[in-house]
Amino acid sequence: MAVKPFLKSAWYSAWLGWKIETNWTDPLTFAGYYLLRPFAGLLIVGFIFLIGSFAAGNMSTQYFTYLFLGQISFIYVSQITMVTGSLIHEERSKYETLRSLYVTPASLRPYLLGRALSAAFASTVSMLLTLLLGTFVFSYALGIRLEIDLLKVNYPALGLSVLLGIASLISLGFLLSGINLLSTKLQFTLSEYVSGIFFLLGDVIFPPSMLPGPLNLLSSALPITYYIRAVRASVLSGVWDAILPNMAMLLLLAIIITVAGLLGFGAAEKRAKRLGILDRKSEY
Amino acid sequence: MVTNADVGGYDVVEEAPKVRRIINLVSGGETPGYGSITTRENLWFFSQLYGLPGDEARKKIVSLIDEFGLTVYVNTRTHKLSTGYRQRLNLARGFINDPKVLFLDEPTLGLDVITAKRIREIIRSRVKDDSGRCILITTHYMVEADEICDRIAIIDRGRIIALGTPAELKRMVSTQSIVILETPPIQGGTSFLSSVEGVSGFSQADEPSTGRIKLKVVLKDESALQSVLQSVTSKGGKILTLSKSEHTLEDVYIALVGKGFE
Repeated sequence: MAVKPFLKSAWYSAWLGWKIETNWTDPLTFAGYYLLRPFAGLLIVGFIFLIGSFAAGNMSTQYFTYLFLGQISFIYVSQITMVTGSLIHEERSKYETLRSLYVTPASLRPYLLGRALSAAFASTVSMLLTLLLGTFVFSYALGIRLEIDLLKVNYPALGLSVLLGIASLISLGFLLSGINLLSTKLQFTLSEYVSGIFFLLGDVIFPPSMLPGPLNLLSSALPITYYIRAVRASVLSGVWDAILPNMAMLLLLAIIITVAGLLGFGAAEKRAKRLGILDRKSEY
Repeated sequence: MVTNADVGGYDVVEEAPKVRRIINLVSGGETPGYGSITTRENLWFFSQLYGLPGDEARKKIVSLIDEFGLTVYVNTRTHKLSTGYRQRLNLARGFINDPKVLFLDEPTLGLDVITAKRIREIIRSRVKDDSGRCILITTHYMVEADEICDRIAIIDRGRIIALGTPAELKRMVSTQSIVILETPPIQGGTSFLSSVEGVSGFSQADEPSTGRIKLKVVLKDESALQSVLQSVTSKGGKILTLSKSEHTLEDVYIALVGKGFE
């Protein structure tokens, strides 16, 4: 398919995704939902930190900043994975439009891309709201100093890290959609499994060096690990020397996962078509 | 063995993108797209997937909304539409790219009589107005097939067992006779009828209001009627009513497949 029609289809799929995300309620409830969910996650981690610090009699604001940034960055991971991990199931069973989408000249790829982009946009809204409220609650209400100097933040590197992270997550979404094309048993859990693994291994709340050898190795093969490290380095040090190694690895893994995502989805689509299960619904 | 196929002159494997531009698909009983957006937005979204330019898409949507009687619900979120209006929207979506070949899968499934009739009229008018179009319908409603189809293929266990115009198909059984008889339920069922000499096929319908069963039996010729009546009474049945019937497509199906729809 030519690039222009592909992008047009992806754009309108993103438009649809945004409508679906926002139309179910009034704007205030929507904002609340998109704030409360990630903010609750941040609060849990924050309070675990506080309780642990009181028990140990020592509060490391450096570690709290590490946690805070990890949790904020992870909003993209959890929300994009949640949307892309359930798209195929929704199209098959909730909207029953998979067949209609499949026969269009655009077919499924630009649709998946567009829906993932709208999830990325919604995640940005979520992340910004959580960042503002989280900073207020922890810094001002609870008096924990965040060791972030806004003048030291390397904003271009931060933007680039987030974009590469989003690209990796969207490509991963293609893989998840491919798996869901072939299976009707994982549609409710696949995104949970994947984001759970990323949360544990992705340098979100503790350094992977604390993990046993094989898990540490696995962590170093995940793009999410380098995405979160690149974000932290961009915000905390702002120095390219600290950012570039992580960004280079993130770029490399983003390319690998993009190729794997597109090839994997293509193979799954072909197999699903051959088996006649493209629009197979689950019995749930 | 078939090794290739084409739609509208394009090979379905080698030229799939070209095929996609000239086809569309509508299934019956399905949700019409995305419930949290409006009728107009649903149509707009699909018009963009088919690459329609903005102005053309807007005009097309206005005309489809008018044709399918959706004007009142144009700005209504589609989860609020009734089943009949959802199916109208579905069909409107099916015509958004002016397909040369439209696949309709059970288009009137679950609809009330009036809406189903209206939808059949729309389908028929679409083919009548433009002879370059083909609408391929799969249906279990023989009356529907008879009313709107120019050619009909009867498929049994994945194979086409008859193909022709409704008139041609009816002629296939014109030498046969169809009788309808009512009896109280017969212990052990009515499957014995298939082995009665001279019976091409039969179908059975329960009549809960009277407690009877209605049997429609296709006979190779009228002389087989006596054997049918004897076998029914010998199995404990009682002939309460007996009448002859005109040939319908359902009779063709029964005669060819040997039984009514299961």
